[in-house]
Amino acid sequence: MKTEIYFVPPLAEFLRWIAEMPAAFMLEPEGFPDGKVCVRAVVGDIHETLFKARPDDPFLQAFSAATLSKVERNRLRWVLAACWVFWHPYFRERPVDADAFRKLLVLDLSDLAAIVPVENLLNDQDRREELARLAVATTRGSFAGETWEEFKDRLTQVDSIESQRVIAQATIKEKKAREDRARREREVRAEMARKAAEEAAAKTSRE
Amino acid sequence: MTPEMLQRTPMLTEDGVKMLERLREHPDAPRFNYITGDRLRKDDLGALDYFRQGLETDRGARSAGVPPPAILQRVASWRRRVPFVASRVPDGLDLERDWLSIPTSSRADLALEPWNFVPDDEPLERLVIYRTAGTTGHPITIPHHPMAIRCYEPMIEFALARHGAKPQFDAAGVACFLVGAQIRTYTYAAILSAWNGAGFAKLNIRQTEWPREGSQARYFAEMAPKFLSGDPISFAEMMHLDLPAQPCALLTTSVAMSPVLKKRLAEKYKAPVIDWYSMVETGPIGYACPQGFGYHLLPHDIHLEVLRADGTQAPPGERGEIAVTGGRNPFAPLLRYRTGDFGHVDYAPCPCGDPMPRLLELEGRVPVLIRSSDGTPVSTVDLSRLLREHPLLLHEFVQHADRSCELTARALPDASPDTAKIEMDLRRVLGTVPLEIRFDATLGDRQDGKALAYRSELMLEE
Repeated sequence: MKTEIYFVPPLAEFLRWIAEMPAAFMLEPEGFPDGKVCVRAVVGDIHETLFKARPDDPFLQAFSAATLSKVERNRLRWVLAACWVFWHPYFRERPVDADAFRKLLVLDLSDLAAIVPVENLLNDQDRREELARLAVATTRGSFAGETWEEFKDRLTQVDSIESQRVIAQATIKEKKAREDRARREREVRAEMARKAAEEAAAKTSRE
Repeated sequence: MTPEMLQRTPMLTEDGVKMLERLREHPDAPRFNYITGDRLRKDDLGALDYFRQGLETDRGARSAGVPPPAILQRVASWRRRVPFVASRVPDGLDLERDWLSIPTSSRADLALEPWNFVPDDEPLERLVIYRTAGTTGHPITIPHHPMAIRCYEPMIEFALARHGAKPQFDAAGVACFLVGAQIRTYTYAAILSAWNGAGFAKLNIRQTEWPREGSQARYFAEMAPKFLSGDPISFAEMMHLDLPAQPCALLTTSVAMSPVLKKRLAEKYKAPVIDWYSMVETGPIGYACPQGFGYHLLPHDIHLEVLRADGTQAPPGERGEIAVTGGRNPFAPLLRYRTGDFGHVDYAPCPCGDPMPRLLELEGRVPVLIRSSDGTPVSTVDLSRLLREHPLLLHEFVQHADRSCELTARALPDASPDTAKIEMDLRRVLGTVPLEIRFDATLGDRQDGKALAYRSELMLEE
């Protein structure tokens, strides 16, 4: 009888796995000049491997180059990198949530690609960890030694989208603070100028 | 009682109106050139009483180093509210632990960007403006609050009482004359609601301000102020004019008074002469110990430090520049503010019984005698008034023994002062003395942001 216990490899294993990503997964996506990899085919393969079924065409359509922009090229390369992560043996032992998988590849990576170049996977450990956690999250698993809550907390910490949101909010807040400060300074200066021409208050001793 | 009168003196009564008429309409009244009031509101009285009570109850031994908790707490609130303080005190800094590493501030900070001292959430409705007299530096503009000015009254009561003078003020009498003897100064009559509506007048006793010969003497005799405030030069002139008065005390400030003059005044007016150390930026800081052991720290909400030239704190007993933190002006909270005055602090118990520390060998406000080409004395306040019409940040004025004068000035940033106009203005009071004017963009940078504004090699006669 098979025991339903899934061993989740430690984070370090996934970091190593991503760091050793084969060059083929970093090649130019089809549709771009010198494009060599058909991303749609790669996604189809991994989908069949994980779910034992070929994905529907509308889903696959999302992995053809919609434009020839840098962002689109970056998105497809992120998808390729994610496919490599899902190629890890762990994902063939632990059931992957299909909806979460599709959302990750279609939406989440699209947002991520809009702000982070895929090359960062080569030199930024946090980006590797982010991708590993995004992938492992589709199995609702957590790395050895982490609870699910701790896993999610850490994912938030390395989440580029979240960081971008926080930075954007901080920038807006800082801009507002600067504007408020400038407005207050104008207000005080105007009041000082106005009051300089007015009487002060009687003073009973000299300084 | 007009709306304007009530705006200037919100607690004005019919008795107060009569007192104002008496002060202004008397046949020998001076030609007052200004109108103002105490601006004290009824809802200020609670805070004023609380301050008065604190002057008595919050006195205690102080120590060098870190301010007492109540002042630290106020500084903590400024970190969030006062742009200047926020820029000086980084987030991670622990006020108590790291106090000595907080940068000091100076007159130049306040002169260049006074608005940065105004808390972000402080309503501006009651803001008033004062200019420093320029006794120890170029005059600067200080945003102030009437309540902070009204706190002078409890502090005067305290200082007078420590010297055995306890005047009773009422709406039928004149509380005080602030006596001046200058070429030009603001003069006015007012009502002091904090002193039961008693009368007050700021006067210039030079003959040109009065309707006829002898008016000053008759006015002084008729109004019989309970006490007098002024400065050594004005009091010396008052004695010279033989003005009659029976004050319970003479409060002298602005510049140090010589022991000889003090003795003569005390003998003539049969009243104690109380030295008082005060600045526009801080308000009163110290009053002379009744037993002659220096100046006791007067308000309980100020922390004193003595700093070396490099900004480090001098140990008790070592002379250095006096710096203050605290005060009650909500529009200019002061953080380790270097006053430009020098002395040392003694924290040991004083035989007089006041437990507050004492400033000793206070120096920085020596009376300076300037004379015009024909020998007429010229007040440094008058010179400051002329100079502040020009875009100057700081100045140093020196008169040599041969009466020749030198003015070294630092212009405000991006300003180009008109040297010819400055000379013309100065000559209006100095006459034809040899006069050299030059500019130095680094004046005041040496240590403290404050230049020694006036110096004279002429001998000061009593």
